Amino acid sequence: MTKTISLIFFLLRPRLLGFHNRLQRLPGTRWRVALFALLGSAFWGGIFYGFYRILSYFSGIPGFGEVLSQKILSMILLTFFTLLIYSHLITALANFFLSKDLALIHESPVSRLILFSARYLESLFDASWMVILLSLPIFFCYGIIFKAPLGYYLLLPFVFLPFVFLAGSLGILITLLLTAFFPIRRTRDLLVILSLLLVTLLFLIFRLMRPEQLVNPEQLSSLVEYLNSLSAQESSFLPSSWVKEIFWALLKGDLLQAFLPLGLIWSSAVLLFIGNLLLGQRFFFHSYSRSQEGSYKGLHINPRFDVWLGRLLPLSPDLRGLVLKDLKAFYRDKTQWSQLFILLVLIIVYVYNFSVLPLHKSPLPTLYLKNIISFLNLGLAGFVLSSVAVRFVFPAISAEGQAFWMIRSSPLPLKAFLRYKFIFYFIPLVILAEVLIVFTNRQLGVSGAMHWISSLTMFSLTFGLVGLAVGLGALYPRQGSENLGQMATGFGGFLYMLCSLALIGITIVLEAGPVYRMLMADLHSTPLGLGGRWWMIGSLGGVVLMHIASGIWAMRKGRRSLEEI
Amino acid sequence: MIKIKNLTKHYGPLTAVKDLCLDVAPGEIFGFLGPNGAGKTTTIKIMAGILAPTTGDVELCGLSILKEPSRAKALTGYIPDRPFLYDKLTGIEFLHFVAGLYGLHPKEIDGEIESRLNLFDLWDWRMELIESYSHGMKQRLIIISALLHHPRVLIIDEPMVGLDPKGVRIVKHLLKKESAQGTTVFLSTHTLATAQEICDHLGIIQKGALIAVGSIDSFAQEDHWKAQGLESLFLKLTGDLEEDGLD
Repeated sequence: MTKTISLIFFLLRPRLLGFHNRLQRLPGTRWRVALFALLGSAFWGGIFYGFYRILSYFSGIPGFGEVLSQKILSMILLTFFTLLIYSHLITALANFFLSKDLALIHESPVSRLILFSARYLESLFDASWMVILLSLPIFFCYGIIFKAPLGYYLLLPFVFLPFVFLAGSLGILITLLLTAFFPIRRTRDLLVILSLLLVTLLFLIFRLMRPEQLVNPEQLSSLVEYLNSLSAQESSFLPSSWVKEIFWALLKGDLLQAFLPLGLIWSSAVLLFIGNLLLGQRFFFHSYSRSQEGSYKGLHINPRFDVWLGRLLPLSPDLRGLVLKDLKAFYRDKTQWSQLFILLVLIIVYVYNFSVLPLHKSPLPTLYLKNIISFLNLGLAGFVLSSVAVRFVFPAISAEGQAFWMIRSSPLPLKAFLRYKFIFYFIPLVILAEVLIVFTNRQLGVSGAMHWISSLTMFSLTFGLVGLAVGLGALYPRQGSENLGQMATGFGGFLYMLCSLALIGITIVLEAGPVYRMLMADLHSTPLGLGGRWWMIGSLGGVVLMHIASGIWAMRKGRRSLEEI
Repeated sequence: MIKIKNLTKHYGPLTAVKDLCLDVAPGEIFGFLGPNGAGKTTTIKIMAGILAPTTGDVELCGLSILKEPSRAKALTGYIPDRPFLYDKLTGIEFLHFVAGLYGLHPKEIDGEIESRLNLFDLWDWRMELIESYSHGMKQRLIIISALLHHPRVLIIDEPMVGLDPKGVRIVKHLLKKESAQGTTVFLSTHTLATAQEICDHLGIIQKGALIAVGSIDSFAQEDHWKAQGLESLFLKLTGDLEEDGLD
C-alpha cells in the first residue's frame, strides 16, 4: 500500500520538478509569480470585503436574517458543487486522455490503475484549487459574522475535502462514461460548448432578473418568498445540502448535529472513488487507446466553399492564403467560435444595462447625466474591447505556433504579416466597438456632438487597442501553448491589459475637459466659443494621434522582437 | 521472444493492421520495413502497450501485453518515432524519472547514466533543461532512457531520425552489442542501408499485411537485391518501382 501511494506521488514528480525549474532558471518567473500572488491576494481581499458587507446586511435583517443567510449558503454551495463537477469534466478529459506524457507512462510497467489514481489526484487539484481558494473568504465571513467557535475553522478542511472529492469524482465519473462510448476529442468539444452555453445562459438569466432590486428593502419579503420557493436546493439528496447542514451545525458549535451529514458525505465520496477505480480499470486504457485514433477520421471539407471564399477576397495570393487559413482555423475549432456566444450575451447585457439605468432618480439634470454617462461609456466599452482583444487578438501571433517558420521563411515581409493580422482583427473589432457605442447612445437618447465625439474616439481607440494587442502578442509569443485561451493569461496578456487600461484612462482624461465645457454650454444654452472649439479639436486630435502612435509603436516593437528570434 | 499473434487494428472503416503474425527469436535484430501508412507505427504502438488491438495479441518474453502488461513492459524498452520529453526537466532529472517508472533508484543507475551520457556526448548537458536540446540530442536522451533498465526486448520506431553521423554510428554499434548480449531488437526504419547493415531478419508490411519475411541472406538471393540492393527489392515488393513523374 505504501509503495502504491509513493508511486502515485512519484508520477506527479515531473510537474513539481518542472515548476521548481521554472522558478529557478527562467528569468522573470519569480517576479511573475509574486505579481500574480499579489493580484490574487487583492482579489481574495476584495471577495472577503464584498461578501462581508453583503452577508452583514442580510444577516442583520430583523426576523429573517438567519434564514436568509442559510439560504444564501445553500445557493453558494450548490453553485460551487455544479462548478466543481463541470471543471472536473474538462480537466479530467485532458489529464486522463489528452496529455502528451501519457504515452511515456503507458509504455512503462507502471500499473494502469496507479496511473489512473495519479491522474485522479492531479485532476482534483487542477479543477478545484481555485474554487477552494475563492470560497474560503466566504466561509471565513460566515464564521466571523455568526461568531463561530474555533472548531468551525479547524474542521473546515474536513468538510471541504470530501465535498470537493465527491463533486470531482462525479465529474470524473461522467467523463469516464462519456469517453467510454463517444470519441474523446468530440466529447471535449461538446463539453466546452455546453459549459460555455450554460455559463452564458446563467449569466443572462441572472442579469435579466435585475438582482439590483433585491437590495431594495421594499422587495425583501418577495426575496425571501423567492428563496423559499427554491426547494430543490434543499433536497436531502444533494450533497450541497449535507454540507450546508454541516457548516451550520459547526457554526453553532453543535458537533453532534454535524456528525450524520459528515459521515454521509465522507462515505459517499469514498464509495464513488471506489466506483471510479472499478470503472477506470474497465475503461481507462481502452478510452486512452481510442483517443489516439481520433486524428485518423478526417473532417468533411467542402472545397467549393474555399473556392467561393477565395474568389470573394480581392487580395494578393499570399494575403488571400493567410485570410483563408485564419478563417478556417477559427471556424473549424469549435472551442474558439463557441466563445462568440459569450461575447454576444455580454453585448446584449451591456446594452440592456443602459436601458434600465434609474436616471430619473438622480438629482442631476437628465440631459447632463445622459451625456456624462455616454462619455464615461467610452471607458467601459474600451474595457470590453480590450478584454475581447486580449482573448482573440493577443494570441494571433502565438496561434501560428510551430508553423510560424513557414511565414518567416516565405517572401512575405514580417511588416506585411503584422499589418495583415492588424487589419484582420481591426475590422470585426471596430464594428463591435461602434455597435456598443451606437446602441448605448440610442438607449440613452444621446445624439449630436456627443454622439460623434464618442464614435470617433472609439474608432481611433480600437486602432490603438488592436495595434497594442498584435504588437505585444508578437513581443511575448507563447508558441508552445496548445490552448489559445491560456495564451492571454500569461505575463504578456497581463501587460497588454495594463497598457490598454492606461490608454483608455489617458483618453478619458484628455477629453474630459473640453467635453465638460461643451456640456455646460449645452446645459446653459450658451455658445461654446472659439477657445472651447479649439480645445475640443486639439484634445480630440491629440487623442487620435496618441491612439495611432501607440498602435504603430507596439507593432514596431513586436516586429523587431520577431525579427530577432 | 516476440510473438505477434493474428494482430488486427481498425481505425473506424480503415484497417491499419490485418491479421499480422510474426515470430522474432531471442538476440535477433528484426527490421520492420514498409512504405508510409503501411501500419508499422500502429503495430509498434500495440507492442509497446500504448494502443489496444482490435483483435489478436502480442507476447513479449512469453508475457501477453494484453493480459500482463506491467510484467511484459518491465522487460521491454521502447523508443518512439516522436518521443515526448518533459521540456522543463533537465536531462538527468528525466532519466531519473524514467528509471523510477521501472522501479530503479537513482543510486543504482547513476554510474550507468554517466557512462551512457558520456557515450552520447550529453554529459555536459545533463543539468540543462530539455527544452534547450536539439532534436538529435533529444533522440539520444530517449535512447539512453530506454536502455537504463536493461530490457530483454527493444522496440524501436525510426531510431536514426535527427541523429548526426556519429550518433547513427553509436546507435548501430549499440544495437549490435545489445543483440550479441541476447537482447531482441524490433526495429522499424525507412533507412534501408541501416536495415541492410544491422538486421538479421526483415519483414515488409504493406497496407497492414506482411508481404515478405525472411532472413537477410534469403532476401539477398533475390535478383533485384543482387542487381541494386535492398532499396530496389523493397520498391519491387511494395509495387512502387515505377516512379511516374519523377523526371
